[in-house]
Amino acid sequence: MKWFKGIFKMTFISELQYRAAAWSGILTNIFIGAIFIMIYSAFYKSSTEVPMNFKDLASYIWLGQGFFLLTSLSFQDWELIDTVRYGSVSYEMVRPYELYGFWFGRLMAQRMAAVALRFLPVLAVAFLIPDPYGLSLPATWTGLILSIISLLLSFILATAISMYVYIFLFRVLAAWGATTILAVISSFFSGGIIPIPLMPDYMYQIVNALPFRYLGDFPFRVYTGGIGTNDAVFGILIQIIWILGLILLGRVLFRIASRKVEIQGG
Amino acid sequence: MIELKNINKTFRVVKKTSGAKEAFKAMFHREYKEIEALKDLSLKVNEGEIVGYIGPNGAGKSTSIKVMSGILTPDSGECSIMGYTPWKDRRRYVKNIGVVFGQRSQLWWDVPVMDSFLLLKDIYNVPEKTFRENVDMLTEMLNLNEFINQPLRQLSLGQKMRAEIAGSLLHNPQLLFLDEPTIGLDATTKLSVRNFIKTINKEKGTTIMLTTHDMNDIDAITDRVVLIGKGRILYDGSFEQIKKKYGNNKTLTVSFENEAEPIEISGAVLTKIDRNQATYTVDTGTVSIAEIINRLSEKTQLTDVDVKSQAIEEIVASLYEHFNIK
Repeated sequence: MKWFKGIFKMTFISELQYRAAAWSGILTNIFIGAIFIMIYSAFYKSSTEVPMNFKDLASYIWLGQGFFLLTSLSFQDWELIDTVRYGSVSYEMVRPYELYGFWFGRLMAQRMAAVALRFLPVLAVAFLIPDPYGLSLPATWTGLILSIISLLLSFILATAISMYVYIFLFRVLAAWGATTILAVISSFFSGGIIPIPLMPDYMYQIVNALPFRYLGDFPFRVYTGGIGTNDAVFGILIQIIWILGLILLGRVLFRIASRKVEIQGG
Repeated sequence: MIELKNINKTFRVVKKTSGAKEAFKAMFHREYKEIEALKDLSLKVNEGEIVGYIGPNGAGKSTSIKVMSGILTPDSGECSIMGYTPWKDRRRYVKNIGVVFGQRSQLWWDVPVMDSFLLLKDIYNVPEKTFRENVDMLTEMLNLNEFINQPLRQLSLGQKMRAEIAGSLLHNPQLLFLDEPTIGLDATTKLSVRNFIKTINKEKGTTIMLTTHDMNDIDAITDRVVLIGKGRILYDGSFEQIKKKYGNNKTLTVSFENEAEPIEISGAVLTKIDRNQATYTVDTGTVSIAEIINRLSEKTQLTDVDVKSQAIEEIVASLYEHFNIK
């Protein structure tokens, strides 16, 4: 596990070098959060029956923006993608580690480093915005703790899903398509575009059958109290099952795909 | 150390055609062709040896290095390196080897070289003391001092290559594969890389397999060369022998006092004639230079004689030609 710390540090240093990107990311998240809140406040003014109160909705949106890179599957390791594309993957294969595990660690460390660098400023700004437009305190202490556990699991889940991009990459050498499709699907089904409580009932069934809502929607609603303690514990169990299932299948597919790897470019 | 027996490897590649129409067709129907990258490759390398691996582009050099370093699985054949079968015991085996692919990078692009080294230290579980010693030694020998704290992306090609080579040796590998380590380097850097390779072999006893297209590398570093062409080993032996066998042609330039008619001499081919200067190519296997000069001076008054040996590149070109692998 020493290398995990090493990779985490490395990614953090890399991320820090692109300060402009980090700052503009933070500003974008704040801006988009504000726009969403304005739009929904207009909707809420004209509706009488709402499935989620406005205060919770605002928190939900702000958490979504603060942890944007946690839920976003368009965040990928392009250096690693180029590695496969241009053949430097040779170097990966002469290292004494299991490729799936190491890449998993690398991707997760990157996601964590990127989020760690960005979430505090966004959430801090959201806290300062007055009620009901800003980020509120969690409903209960249990809710806070459970949502933190679930958020940490989300990092693992997001990485497990990401790994399929790299499995696919071994076969087709182009990651743009796979990443874009996956990113759109996941941001929709994790409630990043329309909060899931506001979706119609039939959508709810589809959403529940997919792993994406456990990336964002679920931990955010545990935080706001929209999901009670019992449901939260149950949800975390389902989250863990998704993680295990996706990793087990991913590892098998990864082995098959990497065994057939051809090294590009001589 | 290394023992390869009858290794075969075939690639199936899509027959690519050019042009938009053909590319469109290929979306629906693809034709494949088989390329035999390695054919019955057998090779033995002893501990502490340096082997120069040469051959034209596409001969199978890199493929065999990839088989030997556990990246590719051959279709058939046996391979035992330090008691391991590379593609079967990959994880345990690769701890003992270092690899440099001259055209690729193993260090992180955005972080200082030293940070990449630290990560490699964690990956290979190198003890702190060994790591310090190695970094100090490599820094001194390869002059890494001036840039070790700069991100890789800011380094020149020569600096990058030196950093890459250092990176592959941090874990004290017993066997080092260098795939074109001098590609694109300037004269001074080439010299220092060559010296470094020799030193590391002598002092640490590291076995080294080196591929290169720069025959001066081979000349400076090692005497054992293995020539590979079209996936087969064509020659395995001393480089001196090659030079003797294929380096017989010498270029003889003579100047004479008066303008003269072209002089034909048997045993020498007249390649160029100027007003009072003529250039001959002489095959010293059939006739000696002295003989030719004798015969020339019988016919005209010589003022200057210049004899040049063939450049190493030319020798190797005629070697490739001999084996029909150009």
